[in-house]
Amino acid sequence: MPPLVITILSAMEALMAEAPQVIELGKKAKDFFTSLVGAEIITKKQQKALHDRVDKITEAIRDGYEPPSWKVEPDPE
Amino acid sequence: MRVKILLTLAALSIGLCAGCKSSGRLEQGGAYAPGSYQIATNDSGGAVTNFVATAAPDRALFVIDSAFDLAYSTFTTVTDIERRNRQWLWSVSPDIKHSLDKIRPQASEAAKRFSMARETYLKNPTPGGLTELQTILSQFQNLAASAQAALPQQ
Repeated sequence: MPPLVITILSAMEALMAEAPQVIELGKKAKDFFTSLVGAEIITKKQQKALHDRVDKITEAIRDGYEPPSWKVEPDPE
Repeated sequence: MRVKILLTLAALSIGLCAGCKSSGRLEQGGAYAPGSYQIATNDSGGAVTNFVATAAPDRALFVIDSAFDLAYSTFTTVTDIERRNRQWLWSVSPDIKHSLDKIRPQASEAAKRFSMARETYLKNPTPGGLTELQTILSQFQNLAASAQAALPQQ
């Protein structure tokens, strides 16, 4: 596994330990990224997982969804 | 330390596209292969529905989806951590929130355009549609990089 990949995965692990609230979001990206590293064939299951996830995100956005953290909120006092 | 880790993660979204390009080939008949459903007969004489790929997998769309997925996750993670640690980051510098506040609406707009362009491309995959997707993705990635730059370096 290339050093850069090890660094990235280590950083993602550390982030998840540091910020539990983003575990779910980070875990999906990490799991998918890990599954691709060194893979000779990207399986139908992996393709479907990605396709379905991006489908879900883009459909939600088209329906007007926006993550709460994307909204501009008032400055702290 | 937390921010340093975050910056590494944010950089991932920018670099992942290259990572996908260097990885393996797509298994035939997957979600990225154009095709159609055909009805056939199984050994016991019953009808079964099979998905039959009619063209090679759309690797370009796979790479775009991979990059968008991580850019979206990264941007959401960056803004989420800023939001959850707002008081502390505000005490470090109000510019952090102000800079991200300039990026937030642009990212939202880019994500909407990407979503619309992807829907159009899925219905009618054309080279022009693919180019549009790549262009919007590039803009979204630049916004993620800008969000990364808005955070303190240590």
